[in-house]
This record gives sequence, structure tokens and C-alpha cells, in this order.
Amino acid sequence: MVHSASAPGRYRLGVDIGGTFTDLSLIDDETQSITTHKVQSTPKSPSRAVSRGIVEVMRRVGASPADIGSFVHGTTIALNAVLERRGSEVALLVSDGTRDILELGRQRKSDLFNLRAVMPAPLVPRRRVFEIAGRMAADGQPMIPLDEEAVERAVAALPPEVESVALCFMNAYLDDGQERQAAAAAARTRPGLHVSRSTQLWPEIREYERATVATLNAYVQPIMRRYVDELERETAEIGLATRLYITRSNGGIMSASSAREQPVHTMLSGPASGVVGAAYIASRSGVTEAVTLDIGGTSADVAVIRDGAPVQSTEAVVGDFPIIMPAVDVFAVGAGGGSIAWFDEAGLLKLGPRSAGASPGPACYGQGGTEPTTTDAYLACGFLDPQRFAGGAIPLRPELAEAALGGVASRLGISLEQAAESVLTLATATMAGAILPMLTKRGINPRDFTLIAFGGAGPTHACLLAREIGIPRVMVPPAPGALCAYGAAMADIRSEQIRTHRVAAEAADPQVLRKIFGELEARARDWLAGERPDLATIEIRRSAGLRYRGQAFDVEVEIPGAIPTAALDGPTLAGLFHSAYEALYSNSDTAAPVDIVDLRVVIAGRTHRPEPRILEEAGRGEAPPRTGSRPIVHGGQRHAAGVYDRAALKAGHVVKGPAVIEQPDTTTVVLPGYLARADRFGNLMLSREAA
Amino acid sequence: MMRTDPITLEVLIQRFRSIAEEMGYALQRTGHTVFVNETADLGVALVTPTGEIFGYPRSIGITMFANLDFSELLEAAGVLDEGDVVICNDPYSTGGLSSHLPDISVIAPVWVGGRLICYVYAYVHSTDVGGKVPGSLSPSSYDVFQEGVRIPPTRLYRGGVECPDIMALILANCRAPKDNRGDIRAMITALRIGERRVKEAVTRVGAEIFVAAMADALDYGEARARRAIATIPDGTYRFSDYLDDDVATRIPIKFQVALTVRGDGMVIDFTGSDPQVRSAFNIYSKGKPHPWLIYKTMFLLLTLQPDIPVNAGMMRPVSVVAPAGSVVNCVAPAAVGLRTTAGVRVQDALCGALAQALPEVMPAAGAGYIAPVVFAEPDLVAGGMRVNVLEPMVGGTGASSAGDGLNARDVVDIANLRNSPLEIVEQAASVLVTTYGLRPDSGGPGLNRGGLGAVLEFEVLGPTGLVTARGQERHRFLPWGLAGGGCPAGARVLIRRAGEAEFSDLWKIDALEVSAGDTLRILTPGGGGYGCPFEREPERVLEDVLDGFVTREGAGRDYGVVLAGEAVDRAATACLRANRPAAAGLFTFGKEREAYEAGWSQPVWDRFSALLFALPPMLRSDARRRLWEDLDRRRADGAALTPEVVSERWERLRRPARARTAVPFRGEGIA
Repeated sequence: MVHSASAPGRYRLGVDIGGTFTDLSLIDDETQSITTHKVQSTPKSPSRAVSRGIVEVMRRVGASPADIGSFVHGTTIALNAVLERRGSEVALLVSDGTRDILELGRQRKSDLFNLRAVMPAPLVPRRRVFEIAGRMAADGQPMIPLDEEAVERAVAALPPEVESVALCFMNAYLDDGQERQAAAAAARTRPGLHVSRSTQLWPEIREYERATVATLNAYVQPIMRRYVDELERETAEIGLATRLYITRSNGGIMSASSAREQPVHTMLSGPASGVVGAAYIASRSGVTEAVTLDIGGTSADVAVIRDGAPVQSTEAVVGDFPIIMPAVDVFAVGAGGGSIAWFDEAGLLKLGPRSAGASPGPACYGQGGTEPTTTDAYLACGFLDPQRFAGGAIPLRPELAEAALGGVASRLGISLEQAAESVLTLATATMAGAILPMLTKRGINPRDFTLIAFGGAGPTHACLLAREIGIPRVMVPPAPGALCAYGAAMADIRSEQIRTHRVAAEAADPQVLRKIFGELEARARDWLAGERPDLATIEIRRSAGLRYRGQAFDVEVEIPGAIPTAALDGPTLAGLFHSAYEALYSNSDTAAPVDIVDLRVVIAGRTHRPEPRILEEAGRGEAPPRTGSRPIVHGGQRHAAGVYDRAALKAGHVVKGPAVIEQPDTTTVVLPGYLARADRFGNLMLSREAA
Repeated sequence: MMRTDPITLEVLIQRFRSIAEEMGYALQRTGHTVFVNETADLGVALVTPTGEIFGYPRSIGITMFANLDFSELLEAAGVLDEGDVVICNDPYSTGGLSSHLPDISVIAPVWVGGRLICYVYAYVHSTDVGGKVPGSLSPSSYDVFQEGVRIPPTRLYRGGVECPDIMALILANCRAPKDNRGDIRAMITALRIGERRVKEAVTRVGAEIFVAAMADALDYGEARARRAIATIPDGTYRFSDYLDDDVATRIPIKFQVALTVRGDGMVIDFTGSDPQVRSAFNIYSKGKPHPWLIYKTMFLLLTLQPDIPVNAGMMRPVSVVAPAGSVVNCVAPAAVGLRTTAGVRVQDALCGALAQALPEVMPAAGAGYIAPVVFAEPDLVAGGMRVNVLEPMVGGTGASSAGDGLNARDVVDIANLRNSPLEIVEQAASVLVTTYGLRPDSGGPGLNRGGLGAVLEFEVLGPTGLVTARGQERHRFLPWGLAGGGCPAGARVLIRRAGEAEFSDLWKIDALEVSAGDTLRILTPGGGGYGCPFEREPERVLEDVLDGFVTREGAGRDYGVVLAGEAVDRAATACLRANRPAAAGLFTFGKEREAYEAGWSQPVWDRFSALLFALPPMLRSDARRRLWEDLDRRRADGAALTPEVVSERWERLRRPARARTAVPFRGEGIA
């Protein structure tokens, strides 16, 4: 593979837009230093905050936007358009007899116990779903020719506000000819119409899920296109000369032009980037099996890293809609810094899921909130310094936290500190109660893992949670508040290709298998070339979905690189499946017949990854500099905790709990009985003191 | 009074649920079969030493079994040592713990430091446990012996070691033993996870606190439930509902409920419900508040107070009266395979009673229909038969004061049911699905419209096949509307044989033989409407018409709304709405039920029921058939039925035939 020369710019920039703040992370490839910068988001026109932030951060490092060699951007614009139902007017064209493909869905009902549940409105009202005659048979042969005129009639009759059309035809995953034909007819009938084809986006068997992918794409495409156009224009105006890349749900990135065409792939990119950044930083420190914990204001996002890479899932959802393309498997728990503690009618204290959010925020923000939140409890327990919280940007008011927690204390007849600790106990229990089943669902035993804590409150709560769920080690990366932007800046250019090919493994024609893999790989390489990246290496991975005949779920089996495509056949795949199944479930049955379900290829173009900055070594037996001391509350007692400045820690420094380690973007709490050691890459490694 | 401090209690209540959910996910992850993986027809729980569920999952598995009673199983099993696992599936020797034979259950004790802390439990709906048909469930089974292998509480593991003889005996009676073995192993894995997690928690907080919190969690659940019940107006509310027929005969099965709310408790009296039937629609409740008799009361409490912890404490305030030998408390060896079909209708009867107490809260009746359409065809490659579920068919939910009902989502709430992608269906079975969608105009009209029913239409592509669909219902007696809302469309089945131009109606499918080119159409009921349809805003009716949920004709007929193009014709609508139908009562039942009950009035039914229940259980079924057929013939002929007529006909029928027509045998062929 030919690699282009290294990009001219010295800086790589990652930008992550949140509801309140837009985070920038600037990596200097020469010094390996990371500069993080925060500006207020501008929700009405998000690109304004981006360009302002770029100008500011470049001024800080004494350079100009033209010195940026790589610009990767994470955006929640597509996600928010769906969650807030602000997307475009969409029409959907489907095969005869499947008009209710979206209405029926998988027949799930979200709130099972509620006798009065109502359904959220579908993204496409039924009046905008049109049946088109034409049918592929289940063996991939055309059965009824496409009625092109019906497509033209339907599209011609659409009201002008419909900007976007989605297409999903029965069995088109086997042959997309009719979908292409219909897409061409639609584009011809109304030039300028956005057309999203299910099989172009993700040609997997399962018509409802494919229709959902196409519909979501159509729903957000006009918005995304306008946004990316605007962003490119504005950043060009301030002198940015590099190409723009956008983060994907799979943890990788793609070019801005791909994002314009296939914005559905950005839907879950926000939390994914943080996990990618965590995985990279962790593997540098030799941590390859980890659970990530990103605690924000309203929720805690949890993901799993195995073998140094984020675990992917094909069962993600956006709101009520399934996303079947591989995405970094992040699950949200309804407990964050803003979660509110309340009493139920029988007098039991509960926490969340209601959150004070960013406005009014926790009581101690002094913005009008009066209900006690987790953050108020952190403050009352001494975990946070009121003056140094968020780098001093938000001065906290302890008296307001105490007033809010006072209601809890008096009702339970306990002290204020006990009340504060109780709220933290509940926060821990709520997180643990949700996380443990999710880990078991993924076949993970916490004992073998490290907890990587980031986000504003992750490092503050990490020790409490690790103790509760039985994770022995905690890792806090150097810049926990900017990990998403960092992850975006170093992500791979990555895409998956899939072909559904259902056949008995023993009867599979090896020539067909090899041909499909060849085509998928060629398509993947074409795509990558079109992204015009500046790459260090290219990695191709092949896998296959298989199942025991009669089973209802598949296991995706990675094909080792040592087996060339030219040597693949059904029995080889079946053999790989048996061993993978045994490893997962200890329940394999080598005598049982196996079916092949689909074949997949993943391409990952690796960009030049930044080298982490190496900390200065601490002298032998040198104690970390202590900036002060304050009491923290834990286990019903006050402990005198040492206060440390993270920036002053050198490699090899060991901080003995009880302690708090402060930095602008977070506070790490080291509980009594824990030790925090700074490693040479600037990570804090927390573990229990050897007894 | 709670023994546990409130913070610890809340923490442990969450932990109990979380442990159960871990067990559920472990079971689903390692289970082998479609029921486990796709429909999550599985259950797990933590159980106190006295047999109450104190830890129950909310995000996985069956929703409705939170108050299964383990006391009889535990008594029958005796002392279980560490490492023992008991397996069972027999309703009659477990106090109804397994409510039909496919639900294979396992339970194991958790011992810590010589103390029995609790039990861990798991069950799976097995694909097959033997019996007369593949899949083990047939409506026409008339005793439990036809429904598969019966396993009374039996030690499958002793001291952590599997008893191979027991396993072999069970598997020898099942058609797909590999599936059963896989499912049983998955359940054992789930038990092990639960056991490990309970032990960890006990080590963490101490046995005393853990055990006290188990009791407190139940008391707390009970206290929350009692507070919710106290908000329901006191009174006795009576209602009944029917299954169309019992398959063995044309006789409808009646479920009758008198629900009494007094203060913070509830008694549900099923007296007057039919005697147990000679088919598989019986429920073995043992006269207890079995989940299949009361689960919608649990859903109601969680609708009123969504954060009540789900455990057996919640259902302590609810008791039942269920006469022995009735369809809701059958005696051995009645067949119980189709207890889902029966139990769903029991809930419709219960909800009708609750709707009188809380008309602003309860929805109208949902479709009350769940029928997996199964297609069997010869497997020309491997030999034998290829059997596939095409779709599990359900109908619409009832509308409520909160809004319209949900389309094609009734009854999915009992487990976590999913349908199958058509593309996978067409791969697996030799059919072409020509329509799978909603049924316009099928939702019960109302101020809030009932959810729409569904339609599945498919053409047979292979040379031949056999279609079954157990659980088809509401072909005759419709789901009821509430507070002026109308009845939805009922279920139908139609067929167009190859070469025919038109579809023709069939009665319910038992085992229908089909051939290449035949097209079958299955229609499920909608849900009942809520409130007077003539009060639905014309704009909402217009929206429904534009979306095709309601036809233009339906808008005029059911809602009194006339449309001109894509707008409401206000004048014509006002004119039509001036003749609004006379206000009905709280319920709308539809013509079939009204006509039936015009003859089978409550006093007539009471007498009929009293006569039958005066007989020993074994004699009731035959007596029921003879007396009902005699009386219904009269009703159909227009004769008035009265309690006196019932008694008089019974006196005639019960006399030995010989006394009336003593004609000696004179040889065959002689008149």
C-alpha cells in the first residue's frame, strides 16, 4: 500500500460539541503536548463556536489555523435532530404489502408495565409511506419487475417540504438492482432530492432495521449537509486549510463528504470517541481489558475495551430506533452529577433519574437549583474544592449544597455529612445496579478489568464505584475532560462492509465465499481511497456471522489473518465458529450443523497517532508535592485528605489515600486504603494498598 | 416496621433486582433456543426461604411472574444442600409454579456459613417437552399426560454433580433433546451467577442485614402497593368475558369476576366462571393469587406508581376465590397447555371490573389475541418436516383516557415478544409474504381510538404444507369498548385456494393443509375504543384518514366526520354528528355478545353454573356440554331462557335415558 507523505501542518485538532461547551483538543506533533480549550456552545449555529474556539486555541499556542494539519470533528447534530424530532420531512418507498414496516417494527413496546403507554410518532407518517410494485424473491431472483412509474408518481406528488426520500425493498439485500432503479427514478423525477437507499447504507437481511437505517439517514441528511457546508466555509474563512473529517459511531472517522451522504453513521459517535481515546491511552500503559466510565451531568456512559480495542455492538439504539451497523457499545446509566435525590411516598430515599441538568444545575451552582444532587453531595463530602471546580469557572457555594442536603438529613434524623454520604451511596448503588447486569450480558467479569474514569465526575466517583462492582484497578487518563476530542484526533478511518449470505457451512461453495470476500475488500479499499486520508497503515479484517442451525442468533467470528482468502471454505469457517462458541459459552457442539449468515470486512486506515507525552521521573522515594489538606467524608468518618495538584505529579509519584488530586477538568478522589501512582504517560493508576 | 435503615434498604432492593437481571442476561446469552433468545420467554428470581420472590428483573424476561409462589415446591423438595439443584415442570406437584409443562424450572439454595439465605430460580419455555404434538401445546389435549413429560420436583444435581440418570430420563421424552440440554445448562449457569452474587452481597453487608432486607423489601413492596390500592374507590365490581369456544365444543368459556376493593386490599372472586374444560384452556392456580389470574392488577399498580419495587410483596394485598374444578382452578389431570390464551382473557375480565373502579385510568379491552402462525412443510433435503413460526400474531391495545391504543402490540407486554423479519421468514419457509401490516378501520372507534389489528397474508410456494395457529380468538366475541368507545373489528381467517378468484372465510385454523398457490390471510382484532367517537376532534379523524388508519367510509360511519378532499367538511360533519348514537353504558360489547347474553342472562348463567358445580368435577364437563347445547338450541330458536327453564331442562337431561325411551336392542339395521 502506498502512503502519502506526512501532512504539512504540525497540529492535529479534535473538536467535540456538547450541549453546554464545545471542547477543543490540540495535539502538537512536535512536542507531544496537548492543549485543551473550552468555549460556550452556540446551539443555533454550532459552527460559530467551533471557528471561535479554533482561533482562540491557536492564539494560545502562538500559531495560526493554517498550521493545523488534521481536523477531526465530533458532532451530535444528527443524534439531536432525531432525539428532538427536528429532522427533515421524509417519504419512504417500500415493496408492495410492507407499508407498515415502520409501524410494526419488531413489535416491541418500551414501557411494558404501563397500561396507558402511548407510542412515539414514527419518523415518517404513514401517509408518506408508498408501496411500489416490484419484488425480489428470497433466492435473490427478480419476481415482479419494478414499477418505475409508480416511483415517479409518488415522488412527483410529494409536497415541496419533503426534502428527502428513503428506500427499502424486500430482499434487496440479495440484489439491490430494484432499489438502484427506483433511486434513479426518484432523483430524475425531482432533481436535488436527497435519496437514502437501505442497501447502500447497510445491506443486511432484516427489512425493518434496514428501513430504519435508511429513514434515519434521510431524516438527518439535509441538516447534516447544511451544517458541514457551513462548517467548511467558516473554517476556511479563518484560514484552516486541511480537510475535515467527522467521527463515526464505530469509533472511526470519515471524510466530510461521506458524512454528507451517510450521516446515519455519525449518530452514536459522541461517546464512541471518548472510548477510542481511552483505549489508545490505556494500551500505551499496558491496560488492554477495561471498563470505561464517563460521568457527565445527567448520565454515566459505560463501555468495554477488550484486547485494546473498544467492543462493538450491532444492537445499539437511538431513542426507540435500532442501529444495526457496528457501533462502539456504549450504554448510559441514569445517574450523573446532576441527578436529584428525593423521597418516595413511603419515605425511602432515591436518586434520579431526574436531573438538575446544566440549568439550574446542582444547588451549589447557585443558579436557582434547590434540590440535592450528587454534585452537592461531592461538595459536602469534601470531594470538591469550591474555588477550583472546573478550573474555577463555576465557583461552588457550599452553603447552598448544605441547605439542599439539610432536608435529607432532618427527615432521616442524621447529620448533614451522613446525608451527603448517603446520596453518594445511592449514586453508587444506582450505577452498580445498572452496570453489573450489562457487564454480565456482555460476558464480562469485572474482576479481570480496569476501570478507566473520565468526564467531569468520572474520576471523582471511580473509587466508590470500583469498590462496589469489584473492579480492582482504576485508571485516570491525563486529560479526562478532553478525551472525546483527543479520541477524535487520533481515530482510524474506518468502515465496515457486509454481505448477507445464508448457506449451510458444509454446502457453501468456496469459490463464492472467496469471491464475496474479494468484492467486499475491494469495495472497502475503494471507499478508503475516496476518503483521501493521510495514513500510516491499513488494516483489513475479515469476519463471518455463523450460528448453529435452528438457533436465533449469530456469533461473529474473526478470520485470522494467517488464513488467506484463497484458502477459505465452509468447514474452515465452521471450525472457527465452534472454537469461538466454546470460548464464549463453554457450550459448543462440534457435531451440530452450522449455518453461515453473513460475511464482513472491516477496513481501518490508521492515521499517524500522537505519541503521548512522557512525564519527568520522580526521584527515588520522592514524595509528591502536597498543596494542602482538607477533610473528606467516607465510611461515616472524616478523614484528613491530602490535596495534590495533578500538574505537579511526576512519573513514579505515589499518592496515598485519603487524598484528592485536582486539575482543571476534574478532581480524582483517592479513598482511604487506596494508592494512586502516576505512570510515565501521566495516567493515574489507583489500586488498593496491599494489606 | 422496617429493620433495615432506609439507605441500606434502597441499596439492597436495587441489588436484588440487579442480581436477578444478571441471571436473566446470563440465561439469555447462553440459552440455545428461539424462545430464549428471540422472545425472552424465560424467567429468573431470588426467592426467600418461605417461597416469596424478593428479587426480580425489570429489563429482561417474563414480566408477570413476580409473585409466583414457591412454598409448595420447597416443601416437596425438602432440605436442599449446597450444590443441589431441583428441576420440575409439573404444575400439579409444584402448586402451579410451572403453569404448563414446557416451562422447565430449576431452583438451588444459597448457603452462607451454614445458614440458608435464599434460593435462586430460573425457568425457560422449552421448544418441546414431548406429548402428542411437536412443541407440546395443542388446544385439543384433554389431559396433562398428552402434553409432555411431567417432572415433579427432582434433584438434577446433588452436591454440585449432575445426576445423569435423571437428565437422560427427561431428555428421552423430548423431541429436540439437544435444545433442552442446552437450555438446562444455561439455566444452571444463571443459578451459579445468582448464587455467587448473593454470596458476595452477604459477605459485604452481613447475613443479618441481608436477610432483614429481604423481608423489608417485601414489606416495603406491600406497603407501596397498599397505598396505591387505597386510592381505588371501595366497592365490588363485577364483570365477565369469554373465549369464543373451547375447541372441543362450540361452547364459549366464561370467566366471571367479582372484584372487591376494601381499603388497601383486593379480593377477586372467580365464582361463576366455567367448570374446567376438556381441552387445554385450564389454569392450575390451586386457588391462590397465581400470576395468570391477577397479573394486570400488578400492571395497574405499576401504572399508578411506576417505582414500586417488583417483588412478591406487591401482590400480598390481592387475594382470590377460585372454586376448585373451575377453569381458573382446575384439578388434575386437566390439560393446561393453552393457559396463556385463557389467562389473557381472564385479564380482560379483571380489567373490565377495574375499569368500573377507575374509568379514567384503565384502557378499553385490547385484542386479547396471541397466535403464532406455524408453517410445517416436508424438508426435501434433510427429510422429515421443516417447522417455522411465520409470525407471532397479536392485535391492537385498547384506548384509554391517555390516548389512542397501540397498533398490533397487545399482549406483547407479558414477555418481551418480538416478531420475525419477513426476509428471514421467506428464507426459512417456502412462502411469499404478500402483506404484513395494519388493518385499516380495525381499531375500536372512540374519542381515543383503539390500536389497529394486523394482517398477515402469504402465498404458499412449496408443493404442500400444514398451517397451525393455536390461540386464535375474538372471532366471535369482540374486545369491549369503554366509556362510549366502540368495539374493534374481530379476528378473521380467509383463504384463496390456487386458481380461485376470491378469498373465502374460514373458521379458526386447527391444522390446515395447503398447497402451492394457496393464499392465506389472517386478520387480528384491534383494541377497543375509549370515549364517544362522535366527540373525537374532526381534525384527528382527518389525520387518521390521511394516514389510512381509518377509511373515508369509516370516518363517516364510525365518527360522523365527512371529508372533502384533504379537509373536513364542517357543515356535513355537523349534520351527521347531530344524529349521534344514543349514549350506551360504560361498556360496548358488540352484537354477538349482546345477542348471546340476551338469552344467557346473568340469572340464567348463575343457575346453570350452580347446577354444574353441584356435581363432582369429573361429571361437569359432560353435563355442561349436554345442558348448554340443549339450552342454546332453544335460545337460537328464540325461546326465552330463565333460571326455571335451566333447572327443568337439567332435570329431564339428568334422568337416565332408559327411563324415557326404553327400546330394547333388536339387531343392527332394524329401525
